[in-house]
Amino acid sequence: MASSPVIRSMDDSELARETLRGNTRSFELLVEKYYKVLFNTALRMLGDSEDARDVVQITFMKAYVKLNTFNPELKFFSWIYRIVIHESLNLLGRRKMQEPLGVDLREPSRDPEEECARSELSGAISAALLRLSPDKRLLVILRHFAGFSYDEMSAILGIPEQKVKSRLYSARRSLGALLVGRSATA
Amino acid sequence: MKPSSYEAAMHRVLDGEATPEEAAALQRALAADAELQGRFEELQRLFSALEAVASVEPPVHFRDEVIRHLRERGPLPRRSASRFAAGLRSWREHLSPQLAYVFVAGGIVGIALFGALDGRWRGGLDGGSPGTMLPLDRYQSVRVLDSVDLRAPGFEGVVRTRALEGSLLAEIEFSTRAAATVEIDYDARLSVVGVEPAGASTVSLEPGRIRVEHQGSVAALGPSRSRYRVLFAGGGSLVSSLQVRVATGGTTLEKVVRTVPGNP
Repeated sequence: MASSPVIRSMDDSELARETLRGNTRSFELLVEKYYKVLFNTALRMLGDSEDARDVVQITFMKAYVKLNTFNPELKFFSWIYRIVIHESLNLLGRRKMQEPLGVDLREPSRDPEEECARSELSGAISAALLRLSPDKRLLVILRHFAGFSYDEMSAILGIPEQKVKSRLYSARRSLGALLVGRSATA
Repeated sequence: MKPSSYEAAMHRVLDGEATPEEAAALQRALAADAELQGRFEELQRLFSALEAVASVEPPVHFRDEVIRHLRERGPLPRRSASRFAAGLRSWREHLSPQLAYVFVAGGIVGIALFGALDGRWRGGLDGGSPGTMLPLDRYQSVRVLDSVDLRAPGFEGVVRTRALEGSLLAEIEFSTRAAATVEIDYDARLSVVGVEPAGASTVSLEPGRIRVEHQGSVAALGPSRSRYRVLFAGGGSLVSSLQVRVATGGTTLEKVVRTVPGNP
């Protein structure tokens, strides 16, 4: 995708505004910037690569079509994350998933021994994560996989920062308990 | 620290959010309580395990697939200029009176300085003379596609076009004592990515047109000089020109400036 360095250096709000002026390529830069992190979020939420792919595709299409409702004074990533979370939770609701799928969470290959150890640990985390309630899972994903600050999580989830913290602590406790095989209210 | 606070302190320490005092208090509590120490180590292991989980690469061509769907959907209807103007109005309405006074005072001081410096930087219009208020011209080395002089009574200016990677840059620079309106009409295949103003004028955007309205200058301060850069995207070699129109003191001047390379 050929874009001038000037366009590439534009921030998200400028790209959104430019898209609204009819420049589709600006939105493509937003896709380029966020598709991986949104895919990973959806994948960790849903545990299935195909579903994650569909959800992210729908997310971008909805964001594009509804871009005129985006307030450029707010952060674009908060807005698009809300969409991907909403779509993921919708799909979970439709699927009424009871059992973790635990598939399609493979990572790029490394040294075979290291890969084996990491894969085992990663698989255990992914499986435990899918056994958490969607609300708790989401908090762990946003903080530990998407790397958001509490402030950003508060903006995305629309709840006070203090509540984000207390809920995340609780989610970590549940996840830790699942990993060590103790019973816990997930 | 209360015992019930230790748990939260453990999370804050591992999140890197604890104060030194809080971390030290937790450290003392952990040293004195083996069970608490065990819980802390368990939490540490969880953090390490979460860090070890790498990001998963999306399927090959996934990004292209998303973009293809968007392209099939086509461009969004253009947002009207009036909505843009409404946004500006709303911004102005939300300004506190105090802040508005600061803006106005800053503007007056800026205009006064601008005029006072005018004699020193009135050295020609061909490319950033010494003393100009403009920052170092980062596009100076970019090839000029066309350069057209704009001359009318009391008005002197130049418009240049430059080719950037996949984009087009139009620069307009003028010096005038009288009020003047400069309009640039552009093809719908181009879209404005940004406008960089440097002068005491008003810039407005309409679909297919950029308008710079200059109020003129106080006679004692001499003619004031303005310079604008407009960055366009799209169009490429399909768009061959921009139309520039200057209206000042009852005179209207129209010029065409090329946006593709050609003979001078």
